[in-house]
Amino acid sequence: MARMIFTRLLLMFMAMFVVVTAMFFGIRLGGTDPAIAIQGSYATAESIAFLRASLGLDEPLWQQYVMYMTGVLTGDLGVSLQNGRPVLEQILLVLPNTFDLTFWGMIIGVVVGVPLGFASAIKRNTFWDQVIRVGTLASISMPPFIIAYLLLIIFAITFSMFPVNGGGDMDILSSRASHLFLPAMALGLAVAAYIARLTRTSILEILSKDFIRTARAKGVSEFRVMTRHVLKLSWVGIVTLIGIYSAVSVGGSVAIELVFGRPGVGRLVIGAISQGDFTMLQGAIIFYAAFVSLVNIIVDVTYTFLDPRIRYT
Amino acid sequence: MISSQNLNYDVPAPKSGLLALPIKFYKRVRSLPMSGQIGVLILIFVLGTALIGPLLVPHDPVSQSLINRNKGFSAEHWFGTDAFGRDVFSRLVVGTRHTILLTSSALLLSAGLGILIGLVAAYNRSNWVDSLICWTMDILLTFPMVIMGVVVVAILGQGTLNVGIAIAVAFLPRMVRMSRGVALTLVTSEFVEAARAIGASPSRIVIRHLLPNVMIEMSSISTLWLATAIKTETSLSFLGLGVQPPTPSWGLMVREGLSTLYINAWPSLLPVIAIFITIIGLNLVVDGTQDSLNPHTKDH
Repeated sequence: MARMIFTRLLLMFMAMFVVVTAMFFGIRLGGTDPAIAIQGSYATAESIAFLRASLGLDEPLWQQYVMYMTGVLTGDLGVSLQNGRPVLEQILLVLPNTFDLTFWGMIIGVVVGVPLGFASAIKRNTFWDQVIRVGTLASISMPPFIIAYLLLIIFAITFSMFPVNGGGDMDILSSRASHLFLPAMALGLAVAAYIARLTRTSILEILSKDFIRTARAKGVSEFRVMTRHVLKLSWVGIVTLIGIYSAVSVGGSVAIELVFGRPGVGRLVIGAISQGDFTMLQGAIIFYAAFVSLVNIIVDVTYTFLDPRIRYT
Repeated sequence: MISSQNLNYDVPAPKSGLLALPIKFYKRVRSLPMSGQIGVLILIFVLGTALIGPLLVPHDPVSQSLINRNKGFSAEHWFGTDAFGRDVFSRLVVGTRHTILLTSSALLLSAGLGILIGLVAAYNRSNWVDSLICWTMDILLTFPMVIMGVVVVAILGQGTLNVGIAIAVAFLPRMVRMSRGVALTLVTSEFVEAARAIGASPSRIVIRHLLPNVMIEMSSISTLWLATAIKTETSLSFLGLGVQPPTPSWGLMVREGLSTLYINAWPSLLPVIAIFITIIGLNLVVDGTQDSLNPHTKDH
């Protein structure tokens, strides 16, 4: 077990190393010139050359790379090319916002999605099954930012029940929660629809297994069949879903932050792209990659507790 | 000696005439459940709009008019005007072509590349080439679709073409995995064995023997991903990474409409509805075809 975690962590670092390297060279060879992005298209050639030199962009590429990588290994992600402040500091400043959004989005996704999928499978082909299937289909048919947009129009603008814009004051719980509710709901509903549909399919598949028929044949009550046989086995599939869709929710959070004007890593990334802020972009992508890889490792470890048939050596 | 006539297998001759294909299509569609048929109708409508709509729009989608800003619905401007006085209906129709064309060509590009890489991986299943390809694809796969798109756009710069490439790259690992999976079942089959025995080169086996078989499987699988691709495209253009203003696209229209939500919500609400209808049409078709094919979910 410890060895498996160690190997996975090692693989994760290797993967992140590859990603960062590819990003580093890709952006510098193909991206916008930050000196031009900062000064605008009316800047003179001299001022651009001066800025390039002072940003360290004139050094040979490999030298910039070695400097950046040693920085990353010691926890220094460099300074933003746009405003000169340390990248790590700016990311850590907004990270709680993004974490709130994705974490509660996932919680809502699981809490809403799993029971819906379960109900839909047990009551298959009844009225409620149809309602759930149509509802989840509608939700799947919208990118998360559109769900966010609709919630914004209905609950924040038409009924003024929630604040329209911003992330609220992170130190005051009520403000933090009221600003979080709609964005997290949007993300949660998007994820819940997927989880509900896949839960339904996996439970239907479990229900067609022989041991379920055996259990019913020997007179086990339907309630016990569901809780002890079906639910226990379905957890493995559900945990996989949580792993897959936490990645989806990270992706969805970028656009949702934009809809609600919430500060967050996604907003930093979008700003960094339009301004040619390489270092900020790289820093943010490192955070995303680390988050997604860590979730995957946690999911793999959880398997061993849920399903005794899975053992890592 | 077998003459060529004796090899004439009993293939029904295709009905000649212009109507043969539409009739076949119609019969296939009628065999879907009701929801699937509605989905097909929606898709035909959206495709028709994308193909001929831009030729028929009443106004230039980018021409601005200061006195006509944020107008409601009227006979002149069917869906009103946006914050720059541009005709929302025309923008919506032109945006349809943009989204459909971009996502489907991106998927085609992705499928083409992905199938080839997947085949190479499957053919080299016992050596380092396969391991390398699988490992690379696993890394790419951990990134959420939108984040992948953002990274590619960051490297290539903003713009329509680059968003297309971004979508293609985002789908690449999925395509590779699928085609590798399909090809793996074929690689050990007898016709490949036979081809190898008569001395066909690896490239010939991959291109002439494996590719046609994998193509059939992959063409239906790729269609399943069209909905996801449209969601990714609209998300990216909503983030302002795709087509640049004033050219209309659905995602960008939502973004531009956000700032005038209190005054006039229609310029952003209508593209939202368009995105929703298109994707739900696709999902209905996919659901319908899967339900009639999958023995597990069929009679439950």
